[in-house]
Amino acid sequence: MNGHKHHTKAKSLLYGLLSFFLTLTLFLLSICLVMQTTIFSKSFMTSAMGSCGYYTMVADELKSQLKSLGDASGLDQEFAQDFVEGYDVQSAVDEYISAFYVGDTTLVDTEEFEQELYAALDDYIDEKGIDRETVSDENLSYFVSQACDIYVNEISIPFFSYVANYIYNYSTPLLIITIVLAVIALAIAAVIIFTNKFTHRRYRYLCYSTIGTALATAIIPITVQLSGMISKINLETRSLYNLFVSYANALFSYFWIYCGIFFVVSVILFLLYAKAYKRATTHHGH
Amino acid sequence: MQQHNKNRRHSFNGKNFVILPIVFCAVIYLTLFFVISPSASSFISMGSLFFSDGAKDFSEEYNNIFVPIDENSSQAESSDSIPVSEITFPKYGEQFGELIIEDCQINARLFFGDDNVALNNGVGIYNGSSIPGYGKTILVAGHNNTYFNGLKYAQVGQRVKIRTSYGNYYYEITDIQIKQYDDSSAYDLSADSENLIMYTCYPFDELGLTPQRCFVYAKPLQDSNIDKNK
Repeated sequence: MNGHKHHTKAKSLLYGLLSFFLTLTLFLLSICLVMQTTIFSKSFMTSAMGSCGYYTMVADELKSQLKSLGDASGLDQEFAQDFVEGYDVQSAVDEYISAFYVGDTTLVDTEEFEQELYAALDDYIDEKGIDRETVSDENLSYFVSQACDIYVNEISIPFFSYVANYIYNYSTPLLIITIVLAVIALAIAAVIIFTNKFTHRRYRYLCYSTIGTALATAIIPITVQLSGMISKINLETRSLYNLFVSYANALFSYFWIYCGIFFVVSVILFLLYAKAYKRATTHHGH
Repeated sequence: MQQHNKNRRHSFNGKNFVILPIVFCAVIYLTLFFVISPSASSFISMGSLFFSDGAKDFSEEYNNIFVPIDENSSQAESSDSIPVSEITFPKYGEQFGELIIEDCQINARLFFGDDNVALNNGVGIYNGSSIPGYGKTILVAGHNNTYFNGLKYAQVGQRVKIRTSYGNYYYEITDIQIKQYDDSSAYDLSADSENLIMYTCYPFDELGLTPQRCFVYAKPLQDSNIDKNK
């Protein structure tokens, strides 16, 4: 009798441990999946840029900075307004972002911007009837070089080249890790399912794991949102700040999605467990 | 058999569906904490540098703390000392006064700080210099195309008036010099006596960015009246 009791206890402990490892594996798998669909995805970045109006804000900031530079360079305020409106900021940002996701660490290309700026200055000189003899090429070059610096600052994202390098190098290892974790999770689940004699026990141990995973995935966004850290990020420009906030909120919403999925699975498993348990006890009762 | 069934029914323990997942979750986070914290602590503390105490304000609107003093009031041109505790020192980006040079047709809002918002709306004091009344160097920047375009008419002997909420200050232009933008001999920020330096890009009305700056120097016509010990 005592031996049977010990055997049952040992079995419970073993399946408890298997449930725990399944929870751990599913949690790590969730993190990998979130990373793949967010940080490692170019479309996630462009979607965050689109949803927070990043392109418009970058164009506005570029306009404002060039307007200020124009004030110090004898240019009318409309010059910056007209020039930036005619220049495709969105394609420049997209080009910059795309390059990093394919492993190209080229910095912002200023060639096109520089050419268009010189062309706009030529038009401005003609339009205003300014005598070209009075215009110093040196001063114009200085203006264009300062404008290019502003352009590079606006288009580029701080530390992005550094982070993008990791993204490119680790995307394949991350995919392998995700597959390995999925296989491990399936293997543990299979062990729980196929080594348990009673159906309700299978559902019970799987249910422990899914509830645990739902809790673990919920803790990350809860902690970040309660700390209010996202809105306190110290970034230089409004465009970068809004991009970061939009990006981070979207990223953490994926944790909520996975938490929701595991919660729904837990409810289903619990209902199945209750049904199977009732059937087992009724069967024994008869 | 009935006893056996009773025991089985009793083993339907709903508490396990709450306690065990919480235990799993706690063990996972504790494990992650002990595994990650030794290597990640430096990154975490470095990461905290990227966060401030509150959400950043990106408003293009500036705060105005300037309350003009009546020209005829005793406070306006008083030579009595003002305790520093009675002065609201402007924050970066705030308008706290006006700079007027009637002979040059200059009448500009005066900001503490010389960022784009300040220079788009007036003239700005470099925040590494001082503000009027403190007996130090006051370095004021403005665009040559807008608020400091009038400096092209500046001449030695002309008067400069700076109005603030704590008093009106008068200066007389003593010198005008053209220097390179990176010539640090153009100003002395460690000077122990009050002096006003206004500068803008030079030549005026030139197309393009110029490496030269027009510096206009002025000396105060009254003693520094802020008592820093009170």
